[in-house]
Amino acid sequence: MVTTDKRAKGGFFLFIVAPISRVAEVTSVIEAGADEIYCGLLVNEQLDSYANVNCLNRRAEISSNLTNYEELKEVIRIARSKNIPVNLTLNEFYDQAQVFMALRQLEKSMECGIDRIIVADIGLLSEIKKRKYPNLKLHISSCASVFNSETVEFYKMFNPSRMILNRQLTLSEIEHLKRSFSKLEMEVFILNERCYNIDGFCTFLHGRFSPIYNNFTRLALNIMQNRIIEYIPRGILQVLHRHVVRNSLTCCSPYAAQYGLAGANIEAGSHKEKVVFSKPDSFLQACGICALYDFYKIGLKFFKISGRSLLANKTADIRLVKEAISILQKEQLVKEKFCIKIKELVQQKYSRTCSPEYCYY
Amino acid sequence: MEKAVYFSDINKLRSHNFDYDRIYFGNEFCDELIPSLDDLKFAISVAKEKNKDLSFVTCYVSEYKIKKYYHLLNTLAGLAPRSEVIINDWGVLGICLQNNLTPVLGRLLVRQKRDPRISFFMKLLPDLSRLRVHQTGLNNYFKDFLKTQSINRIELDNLIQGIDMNELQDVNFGYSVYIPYGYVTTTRICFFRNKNISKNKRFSILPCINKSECGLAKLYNKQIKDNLFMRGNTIFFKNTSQSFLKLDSRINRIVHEPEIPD
Repeated sequence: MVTTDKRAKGGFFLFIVAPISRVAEVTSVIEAGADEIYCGLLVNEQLDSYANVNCLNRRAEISSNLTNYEELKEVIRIARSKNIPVNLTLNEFYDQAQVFMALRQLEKSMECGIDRIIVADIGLLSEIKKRKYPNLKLHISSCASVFNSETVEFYKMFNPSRMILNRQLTLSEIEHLKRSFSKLEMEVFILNERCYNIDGFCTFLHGRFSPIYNNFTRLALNIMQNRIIEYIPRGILQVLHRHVVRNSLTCCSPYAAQYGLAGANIEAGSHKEKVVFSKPDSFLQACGICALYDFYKIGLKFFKISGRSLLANKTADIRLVKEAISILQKEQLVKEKFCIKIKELVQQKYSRTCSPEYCYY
Repeated sequence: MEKAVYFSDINKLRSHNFDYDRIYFGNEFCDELIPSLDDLKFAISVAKEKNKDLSFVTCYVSEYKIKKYYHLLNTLAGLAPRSEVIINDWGVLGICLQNNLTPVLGRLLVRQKRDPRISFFMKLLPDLSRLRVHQTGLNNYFKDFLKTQSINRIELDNLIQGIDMNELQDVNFGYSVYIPYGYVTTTRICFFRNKNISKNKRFSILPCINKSECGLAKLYNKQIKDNLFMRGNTIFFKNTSQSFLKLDSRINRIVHEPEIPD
């Protein structure tokens, strides 16, 4: 058993929960400062049956996932040797055939050594509770859409050890929830992939595909979804990623909107037009690091870096958050000064100007 | 087939001439628009006067707004104890059950695949995927759980690609279908709230300052030419087909939306 829990109980250790999608990443991610890692598993059976429509872990690309149990076993072996826990994502909502697939994946993964999973589906939670896996820890996914303390109470019936809070909570709401459930671990997003919509309620297809692919989009998608991604330089990858997000994810596509006030006939006359959504930069560069200051004060300890597919950024992202935590704990600054330092840090690490447009919280 | 009509605006409820068996009243998507106690009392009185059943529609709700539901559901239980409560936030279920009201699983908690693009590439999908996009996405463990929570009715959207009727043969549940508007996605980052503020704050979650500006827009781009609408913080598709009525199924209620719900 790894010791995150012991550290979590003692003092003010803050944990970076970081994504991996390759065995080769585990060591570098841990050396960069990850305190926990999370990953998904996409085996051929699922890919063949469901394609992009309903992947077991909401990331339908091979590039975002481990692809077999041997890889998972190896990830766990390396992580355990460094005392780092591994969380497996099973955070989609499942139909009947898929819930069996999810349970099969869970049990096989437990044989590989998995002892904590991220879940959103009520059916899966309910069955896991019934089957009583004694050593399994449940993390309730952000897709469970928890916005209030009554909903936390509801999920407590499944005996979770952690709630991963929704991206669309304000700082004061997070504070309220944490103070109301001080003994329950809570995890928040701190970097990358802030979605415009609410994860758990959004029914746009999460996979990347478009009915009007042109050749460049096709090429970009092929690169993004396969492991060739490892050989693409970071700058090119970012351009491709932006292109794919803009052209194949419905929720991030540019939309023009004709709009009027409620009740107005939108088909007739005097509309304004405006492009809405279409903010791949805000999506990819989303950052909540300044809010570490507030989270630290209210006793939040677990900070998730999103982006299982953002291969090139993973270690740099972890180092950025690690450094921010170090500034927070060592320099004892007031919030304004802490935020100024973070802006300088972001500028220095990513050569980009920090903008409130990218703020998570 | 039971016919219901859904109003999220009390003023529309006041003026409507009812040809329905049941009234749906409330809001599914925005906790800024939770009805006042007076509005709920008015809806209850209209339902009683017209001898109609009432379903009170509730939304996903923030920590600061959930207290409203303590009062509203308590009042509902006192004045119309046979009423249904449409649950779209698991937190509201507990309040509903404490008040001995009848919970119904709202459409936000049903994971149908509502992306309007699906019909474009149905033929390209593997068999299980193709089946999945017609289904509710509710597994039997989930349905068993619903039974333990006294939930006997499930609410669905009228998918553009069609609903799989074989899945709905389960005698333990009744199903409702909303027509013509189905929701696709929702957010707390309200476009209409934020459209006139600085670019820097456009992605913020901010309190509503003018509920009468809760707007309506038609969205379009190269992929989606029509059929996608944004009302307030939520995106809807429109599907007027009622082909599901011709088929034998457990769908035994239609919820008519005279306009896109707030």
